[in-house]
Amino acid sequence: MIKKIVDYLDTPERVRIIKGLFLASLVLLVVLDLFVDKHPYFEWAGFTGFSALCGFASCALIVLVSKSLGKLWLQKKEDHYD
Amino acid sequence: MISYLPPALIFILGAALIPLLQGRTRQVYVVFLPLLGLLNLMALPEGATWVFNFMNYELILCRVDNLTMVFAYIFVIMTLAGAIFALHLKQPGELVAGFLYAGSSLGVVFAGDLFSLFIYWEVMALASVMLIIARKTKGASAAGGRYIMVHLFGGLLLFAGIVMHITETGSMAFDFIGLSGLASSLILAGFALNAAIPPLSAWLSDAYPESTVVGTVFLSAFTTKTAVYVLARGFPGTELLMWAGAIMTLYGIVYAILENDMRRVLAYSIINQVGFMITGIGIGTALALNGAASHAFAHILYKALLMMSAGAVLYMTGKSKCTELGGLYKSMPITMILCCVGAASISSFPLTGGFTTKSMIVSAAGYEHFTAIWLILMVASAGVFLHAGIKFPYFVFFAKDSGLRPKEPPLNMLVAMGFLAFLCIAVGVYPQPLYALLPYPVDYVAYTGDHVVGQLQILFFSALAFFMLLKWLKRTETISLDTDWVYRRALPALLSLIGPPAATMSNRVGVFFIETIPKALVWFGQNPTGITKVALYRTFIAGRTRTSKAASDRELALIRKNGPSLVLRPWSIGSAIAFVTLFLGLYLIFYYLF
Repeated sequence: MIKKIVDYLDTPERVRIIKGLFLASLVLLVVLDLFVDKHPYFEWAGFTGFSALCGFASCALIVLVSKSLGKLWLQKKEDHYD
Repeated sequence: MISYLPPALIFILGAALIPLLQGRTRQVYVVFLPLLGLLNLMALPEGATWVFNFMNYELILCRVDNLTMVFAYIFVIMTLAGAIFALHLKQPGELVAGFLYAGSSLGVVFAGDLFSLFIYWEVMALASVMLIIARKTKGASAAGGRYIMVHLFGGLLLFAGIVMHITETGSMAFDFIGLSGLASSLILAGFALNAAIPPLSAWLSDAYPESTVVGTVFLSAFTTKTAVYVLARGFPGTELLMWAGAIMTLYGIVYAILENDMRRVLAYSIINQVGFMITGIGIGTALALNGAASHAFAHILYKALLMMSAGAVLYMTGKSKCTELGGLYKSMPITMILCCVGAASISSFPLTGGFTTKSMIVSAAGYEHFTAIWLILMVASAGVFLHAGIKFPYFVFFAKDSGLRPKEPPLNMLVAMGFLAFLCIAVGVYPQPLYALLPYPVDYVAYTGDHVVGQLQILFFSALAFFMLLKWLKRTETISLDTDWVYRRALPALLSLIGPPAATMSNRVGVFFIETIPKALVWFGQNPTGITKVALYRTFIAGRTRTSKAASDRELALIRKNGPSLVLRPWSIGSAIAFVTLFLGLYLIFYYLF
């Protein structure tokens, strides 16, 4: 059954639909944020879409920092210790 | 009649029987053993039982209190899943090591005293290294060697700390220790090493990915989580741990982002996840400790599930580098779906185990208004999704088509993964039974609109960032330097630098003591009085006049040529008496002083 579902979704057209749904859900989540009863731990973290911003910015920051550290220092050829 | 046993004994004694059994009997037996362990847990009474007296101290093999059972249950459940996952194995070795490892971990959890804790602690190290070298590759034995050295070093710290602690307090009981003074620092360092707190963490990411398909699954569960348990008991509320944990969450992410080997990505994500638990222990409030314990429970479920799916891929393809994998969803869809359940759970998707447990720790940081810690945990929550939630399944099962078309793994592997996936979702949907096991009463509600929407925003926008930054996240055929560099590169380099001069020096010292001095003594013994006389003569008289100098030189040349025994010169009574007097004087001084 799982195989059938995976095969069913595995066309460029349907993958595009999934992408569309994903982007729509981003908008939906920020809109939903307006309606939920919020209890932020910190006042400055209470604005609508804080978590969205936090998620996106964190990832950008993490990728930036990791890649820089890797390029400049940490990443070595696979036979480094051989 | 005794209706229950110390849980460790069932697995440790049970492991001894495994090699005697064959085929189907063995398969039934290794599944039966954890089930027996589960029944035994249900029969355990509160308090300390199986107490023995040992040199005026109490050994407690079965201490049950509010912190014990949550770890005990997950360890036994994990052993069951691991045993099912290992059913296809023809050789008994890994199963024996696995049960010994799980048993000694249970021993640590139920140990009420520091002595038996230490014994089980060391058995864990030995059993786990067997799982690593069982891979039987050069890389695995080298990594296993490094692994056991690091753990023996950690055990040494722990042992020194325990001995000092017992001398100071006069008690061997293992309860709250708290960070104060050298003894507790050493114990903390020993615990921290097993919890993989950087810089004492490289053993984990170095060795776990080198282990066997089955071995890594067992490894991912026990060592770090027993360390979480002992830290939660011995050092709750230690501020240092709060910061160490927060750093761990980020440390694991940075390396997991850079790493190419899929099982090493998951190994680094253990460091990240244990970081959340350590932070919870450091915060030390009831909510935070509940969070740490329950997150350990959920973490074992989904991490083992992820390690199993990685193991299944490795088992079927023989490959573990992201650069060599990809597109496997076509031929391994069931593995892919089960892996995604684990990935969703580690990312704390609502309706999975990660959501109902990790959010307690983050909330605890928020309630206590630790702004920096809370922010780090938020960043790390997004980062978890980035490296383990998306990156791992994406590069293994999707991304480019590697052309590999492996079949699904053996049925026992799928069953084990399905079992864990079911539990991941069960804990997420209905966490109350888990909450009932926690150290403190739980009045925490995970499913509020605020939490759910907030968490989904973090996750979906992290996913957006992932796909936007995909170009940057492409895997490269590299490894990353970690603190194991210190003992893989720096120490050997230092040794080779100071080695030759040190060896020469040591050689010279050796030659001096075992050659030069004895030779001189033998030479001196041939004619002691003659030599002494010549020496005294040369020191005090020769050189005063030209003739005496010339005579002495002749004499010396003679001695050098023929040896001292040939230079026999008549002794005057006076010089003989002078010698006797000198030695008597020396003897007197010697006698007086000592």
